[in-house]
Amino acid sequence: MSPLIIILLAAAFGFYMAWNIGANDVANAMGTSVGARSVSFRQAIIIAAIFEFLGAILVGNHVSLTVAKGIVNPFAYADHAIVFAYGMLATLLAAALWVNLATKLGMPVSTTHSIVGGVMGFGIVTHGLSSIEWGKVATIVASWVVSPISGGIISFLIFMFISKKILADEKPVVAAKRYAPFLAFMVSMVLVFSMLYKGLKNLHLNFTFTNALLIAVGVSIVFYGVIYKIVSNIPVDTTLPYKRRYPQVERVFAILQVITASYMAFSHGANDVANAVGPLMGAVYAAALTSHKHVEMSMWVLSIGAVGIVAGLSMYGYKVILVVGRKITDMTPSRGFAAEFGAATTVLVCSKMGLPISTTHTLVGAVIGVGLARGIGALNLKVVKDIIVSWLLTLPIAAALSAAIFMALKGLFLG
Amino acid sequence: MGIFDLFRKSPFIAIGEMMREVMECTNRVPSLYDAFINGDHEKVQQIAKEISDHEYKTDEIKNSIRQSLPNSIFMPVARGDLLQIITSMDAIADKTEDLGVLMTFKKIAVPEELKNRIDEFVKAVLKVIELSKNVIDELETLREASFTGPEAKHIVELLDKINESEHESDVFQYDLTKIVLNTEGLDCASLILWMKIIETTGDIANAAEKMANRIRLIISQ
Repeated sequence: MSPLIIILLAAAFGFYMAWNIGANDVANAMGTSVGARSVSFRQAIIIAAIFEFLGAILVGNHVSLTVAKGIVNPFAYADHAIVFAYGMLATLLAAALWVNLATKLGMPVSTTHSIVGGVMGFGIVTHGLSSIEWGKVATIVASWVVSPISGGIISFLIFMFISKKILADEKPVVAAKRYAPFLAFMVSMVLVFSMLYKGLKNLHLNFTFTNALLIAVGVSIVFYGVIYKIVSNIPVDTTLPYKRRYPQVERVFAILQVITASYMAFSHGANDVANAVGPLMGAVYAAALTSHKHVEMSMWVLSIGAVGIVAGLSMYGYKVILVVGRKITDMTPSRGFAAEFGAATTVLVCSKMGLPISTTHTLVGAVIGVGLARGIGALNLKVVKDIIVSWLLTLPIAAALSAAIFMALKGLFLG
Repeated sequence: MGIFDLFRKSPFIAIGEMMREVMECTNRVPSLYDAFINGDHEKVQQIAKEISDHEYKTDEIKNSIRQSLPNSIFMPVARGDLLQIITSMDAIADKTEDLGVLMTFKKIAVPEELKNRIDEFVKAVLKVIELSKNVIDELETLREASFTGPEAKHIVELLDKINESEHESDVFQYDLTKIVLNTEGLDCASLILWMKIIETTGDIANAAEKMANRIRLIISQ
């Protein structure tokens, strides 16, 4: 194959993978918002499209680099950059096929785990077990265990705060209005700071720690004011029976949840677009990656991932969101806020650290965290078992599939 | 559909449905007593049958709730507490059914003094049930409030009222028992049946109180 064909194929497979993520995975990121009726179905699609794209473009490269060259040692392919490129093609196709199939079977698989498995698979068949950067793999696998727990702990604490400071207050609506701007400030701080600090390399903007912090504080103060203004319009009627007062509290949180929904989409874009872009980048820059050259990723590579996600979302993902939104009846904005805050923060921090984690599994951890804080009517923990099973299956299956596709490509084109 | 199978319907909604069916039983108690005291045997049988039908529906709902609560379901309340609440609600319906059946056994003499006093006893028992229904109706709101705050306080107040009313109904029960035992010339069958009827009616309120006490545990958890 000529390099041009490899690049075109890689772009096509990368797009397919990103499409898959948009079609299936984004629904998980947006489900808690739509389920809580904080954002309408249409708003969810718009928020997802915008913030997935921004997250992918602004933070996405950290994780992409890990996927492209953190798991296998690219220098082992120094003499055969083309082999490395084929491997990345095989990884993309294997992961996309597996995610596609598993979703059809209703298994909650992770796109991230599929990609990591795929990279390992081709690494093992080409240079054996020793070519795998086991230290890095161990870190990644550890992050898969740690991230749902972290999401759970943060969400638990946030919901405990909501429960103790707002729901337990003598006048819960007044308390909600009092704390809402502060909560918005907090979300905005984490979001803006992580976006700016070492984040905008793609735009050739590099903020120092202090500058990023100052700008984040500035933006967050604006957020504080805006939310303060919006919630001040929500009427307080202390004569209402309690049954009708809590919906007022939830109205305040519905406003906040628009922010966490955006936050969630942003984090998801940052973390998961890498699943498509990482290997695509690996294939496109195979020559540079396998020698000791510095890689300057061009914008179009990230854009394929970002556009693919939005395409998958608008062509198929909206259907999934609709179903998920109908399915969750027991989610209210205060719970959704806590769960999304915990999940999105964990995902974003991991993305900044270059750790590819599963957004979906982190969200499950976060929802359970809210449940442990006595927030949710009933949770079916059997899903956790399903997740662990799909988790254990995904790595070997994606690896085997990627190895097989790689061998086929090699047989066909390398003789 | 993947991870969102995580969410199950809140059990408190189904419990509310069950309570409505329980009320269908207890709401028939006054007319049951009326018919019995007036010696309208046919009407007693008809009402007893209606109560029995609703008791059966209560059982069905109870079973479906139990089946929807395998060990893998995680709830903000202890599973044991929830099951005990359902069991107590079921006992309310059961005792009401028993009462209906007792009244179909035999037409018996009604001591004159009893006639005047029975109304307030029945009212006291039904007040306990009414208050229990109010508490059950609040459970879903209590969950929304995460089992704290003014809503929890409000429910505790209702629970206190239930205990109070149950005590009142106890006092009436003792009075009526005394009346029956001290009625001259009451035949053996009437005596035994009245004793049973009064006891069973009191048990309806007792079951409701037991339920209330479990709900108190949920809040204090």
